Amino acid sequence: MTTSRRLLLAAALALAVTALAVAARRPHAPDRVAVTTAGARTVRSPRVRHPRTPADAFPAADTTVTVPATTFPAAPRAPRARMSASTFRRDGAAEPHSLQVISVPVPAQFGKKQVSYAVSPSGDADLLSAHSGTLPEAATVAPRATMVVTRVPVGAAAGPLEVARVEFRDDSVTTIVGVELTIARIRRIALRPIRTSNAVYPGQHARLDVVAQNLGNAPDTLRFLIDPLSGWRVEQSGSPVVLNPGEQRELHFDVRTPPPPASGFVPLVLRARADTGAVARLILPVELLPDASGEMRTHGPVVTAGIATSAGDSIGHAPVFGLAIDGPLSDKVALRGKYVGTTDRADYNVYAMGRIGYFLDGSFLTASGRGWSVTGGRTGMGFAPVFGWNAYGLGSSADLARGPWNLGLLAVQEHFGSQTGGIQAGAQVTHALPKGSVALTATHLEETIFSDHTLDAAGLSYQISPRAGLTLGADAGWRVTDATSGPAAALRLDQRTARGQFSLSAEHAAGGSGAFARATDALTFSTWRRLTEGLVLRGYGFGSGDTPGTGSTSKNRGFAVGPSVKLGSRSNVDVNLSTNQSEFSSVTGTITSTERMATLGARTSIRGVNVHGSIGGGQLQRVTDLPAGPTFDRTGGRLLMTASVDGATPYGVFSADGSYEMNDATTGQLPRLGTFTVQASRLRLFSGAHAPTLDASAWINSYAGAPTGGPAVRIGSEVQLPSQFSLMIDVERNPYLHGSGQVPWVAAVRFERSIGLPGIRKPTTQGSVFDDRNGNGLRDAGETGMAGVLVRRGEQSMLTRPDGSFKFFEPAAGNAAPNIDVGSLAIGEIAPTPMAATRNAWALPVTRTSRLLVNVNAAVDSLGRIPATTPAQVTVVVTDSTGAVWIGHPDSAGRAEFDALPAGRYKLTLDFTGSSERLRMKVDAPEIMITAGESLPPVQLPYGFRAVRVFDGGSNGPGGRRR
Amino acid sequence: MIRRLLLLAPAILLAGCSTSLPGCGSPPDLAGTWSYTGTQTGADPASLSGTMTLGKTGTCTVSGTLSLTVNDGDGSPETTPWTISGDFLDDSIFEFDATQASTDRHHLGTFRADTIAGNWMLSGSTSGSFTIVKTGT
Repeated sequence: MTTSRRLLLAAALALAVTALAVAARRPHAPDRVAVTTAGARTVRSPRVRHPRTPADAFPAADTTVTVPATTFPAAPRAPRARMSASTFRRDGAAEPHSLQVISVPVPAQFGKKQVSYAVSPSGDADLLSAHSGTLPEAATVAPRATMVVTRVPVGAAAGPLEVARVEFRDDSVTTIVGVELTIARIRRIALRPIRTSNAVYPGQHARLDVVAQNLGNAPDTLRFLIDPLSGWRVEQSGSPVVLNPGEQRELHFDVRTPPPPASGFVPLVLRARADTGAVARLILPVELLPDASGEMRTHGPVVTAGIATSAGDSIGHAPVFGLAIDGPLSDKVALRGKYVGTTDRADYNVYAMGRIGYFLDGSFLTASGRGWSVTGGRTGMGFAPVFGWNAYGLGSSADLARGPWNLGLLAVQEHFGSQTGGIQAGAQVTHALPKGSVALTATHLEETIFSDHTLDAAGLSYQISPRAGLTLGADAGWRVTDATSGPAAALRLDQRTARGQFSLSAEHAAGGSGAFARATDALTFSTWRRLTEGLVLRGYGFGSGDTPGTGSTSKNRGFAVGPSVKLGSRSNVDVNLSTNQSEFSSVTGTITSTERMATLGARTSIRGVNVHGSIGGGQLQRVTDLPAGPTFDRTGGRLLMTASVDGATPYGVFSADGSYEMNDATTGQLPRLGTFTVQASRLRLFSGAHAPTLDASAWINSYAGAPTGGPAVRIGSEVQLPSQFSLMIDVERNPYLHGSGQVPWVAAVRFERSIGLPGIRKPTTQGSVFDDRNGNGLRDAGETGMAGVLVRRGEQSMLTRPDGSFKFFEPAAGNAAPNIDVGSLAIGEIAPTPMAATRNAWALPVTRTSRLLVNVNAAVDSLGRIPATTPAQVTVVVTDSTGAVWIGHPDSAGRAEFDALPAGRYKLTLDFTGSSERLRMKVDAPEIMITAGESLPPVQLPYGFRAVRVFDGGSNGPGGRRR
Repeated sequence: MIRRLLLLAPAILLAGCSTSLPGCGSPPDLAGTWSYTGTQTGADPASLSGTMTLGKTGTCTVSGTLSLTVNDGDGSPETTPWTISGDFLDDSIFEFDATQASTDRHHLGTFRADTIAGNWMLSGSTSGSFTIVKTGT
């Protein structure tokens, strides 16, 4: 017989036995049926609770067994019987709550004689097979066995467990065999958060509380660790924690969140790790609220003043001053602006100051309100490409919106350092349509500082989205340039679906790049399409011709195409075939550059680490045609390899990438060029409220003639200091900007302070959260505010201040009422519905609740009667002073628990509607007073029969006497 | 398919390796420090300025670095390092590429008395003029 057949047979036998057992356990199963066969009686026993000792075993319950007539009802013990005991342990592991069919061998000393047996369950194991029986005399001395079917207790601990005892007996010998199973180890760890909402301002600490419980059947040694996340710092010891079966423990994690401008929900992943790996996982979402300085901005504008300088280079030592303003001045006007100036423009280090964001000539001030904004200073505006593209300068711009109309205006003058150039002015009127817009644009743009160009253009633009995913656009107008005049036209198409995208753009602009356009004629398309779930095909193409009217012309064309193949869930292979050609003609000569490349790339992600690599080969052709000289045709091969790796750790994000390029020397390109860069960003080497984050990078370029002072190194950090001060330091040593020789370390330092100004604003809603100790919903004397409670209003959220107060300045849809996010409250705290606000000032109560234990038990009355109704059939009703009702259902032991009763006065009663008996409470309905957070002693609620009404028929007077 | 493309890449590479070096005559030695100024025309006009350091790597070839600041007037000029590779086509026509990542600014100019002037182009119709003047050795 094959193993599978044996298993099937065993399973069938188990099912049959179980079915019989279930049938026998039905309440109305026949009590006893006896059939006599061949000197034995077949007995189906009544459903009884079986004795646990073998000596008291009785043929019973669950199946049909055959016993000798002489052994019924109980086999008499043989006089002077010899007693012995042994243990039989079944091979293999058994899971808790599983059904086990165990073949228990008859001890060898019984030989082939008739043997009677009695089975009794051990511990909490259920015995589903016969409790007794007889094995007839065997013809040979072959091994014999009796079958025991048992259900393993749900809570059985891992390891050996006795599930039954079998007493084998003949006339002279009694042997008790303990039947043991090896209980399989079940590992199950449950993790649950104590608070469902964890909100904090960026850069501050958050405490995450979690309960871990061992629901398995063996002690477990675990480490609880939160997965590393870039910019986050988790204080966790990682020390092992031993949890016994059923044991639960509170775990606390202190999390330092990343500094502003981080915001939004971030899921932290907590894992319980055993020696075999992670056995449980819990996602703990942490909400980073808009940063506190953002909250400060809601009161009024924030002014930031700073001073910066650089050191180490030959220039840049003069101080540079910065002044910025950002925020609402009043309910109707907001300001945003920046001024950067220096005492000595000639001593300004543009590169060093650029690294810390202090640019000269970038000063501006914007005032904006609902439907309007005006900017003075350095400003610009983007127009349709054929009407002028981008224009920047020193002057003013404005944007006004009213209903479907929008007006944009620009009037600036070119300004670079001390040089002042041409006027750039433009206006655009846009009218919104149901599915698009139409715009009229007029521009006059001059460029006179570095070259001499002028454009006057006007035209209409139209854009429409006839259906979701499809956008069509067109521009049509006229251009007048210094060199020529002619039409301006453009067409745009963009179609996106779930399976791909196609974009097409065509432009014609007379005068081309000589007059604020990209080219005289240009055509561009890009597309990608998902052919199958794992295959995406991408394509890109362009072509342009430019006659700017300066005596030079240029032509460009090219395309790229290639599939991207998905391998598994985390890897891709990308193939790219490309060719492009550029031709530029001027009085100096004509250069034609053609490049054809085939590139194979692969990228994958392994445990959060992204790896990418590619190799490409191709041909580069450079043809230079000099007007009065020969034509140089240089063609050569090209090989390009790249690789990169990056990943996030608790200490920051790290990356490294490198590339190596080989070119045929005849192409004029560098024969060999290698670059290697390592970078670390948002490094957090220290903890603490003002601990800095660091960004660092180092890179080296290797090629013939490269500066010898490599590598280049850059380290930067911004430290948030107390009282809204901040310090930014950026140090760089860059031989690639300074060439060979001594390479200086150039430091740029910026020191700023932000000051929140009082705004002319009124909060749209304000109030406080308070500890409602008496639970009356009103803030009484002595009831203090609660800090750090998360209050939401529409899409706005904030934590209450130390005094419990909160203010929302932004309007909310429907003037929504503020409410407490109960997920941010501790266990046992609730937020009852607040009373209506007075003058939009809310008092939001938080009430601490108490746990109440009620013991319900049946009591004997004076007649000695006790109700058949069990406590589990009774309902406990707790009613507060307002009539609100809490319902509790006692367990089989009569315990009813109320986990969270708010402060107040309550009356306790029992409801007997689930019983057919006439019952009543044996005590008067008790009243209890609960004070916030107070623990109460258990309340005893006995119940019994109602008094019996007996009438004596009037023998003791009219109407009879009732007792 | 992928295997074929893998084989195709080196084939293209090898196919391209066939040309001859141009004769460059007796070009001047450009090794030293140069001041770079230029203009950028097109949709996003800008001024260019920077410092170029060149070294001689062969009779006709030079290489070096260019620290280039592009100021398009939006108030935040960008300074970036570029790699220079160039050669003389004859004893006065100098052609060089300024490369950064995968971007090439291709220059063609004429050398006269410590000054090279000419035009440059980027693929995609961005182009302009440039002048570099030697400031040191």
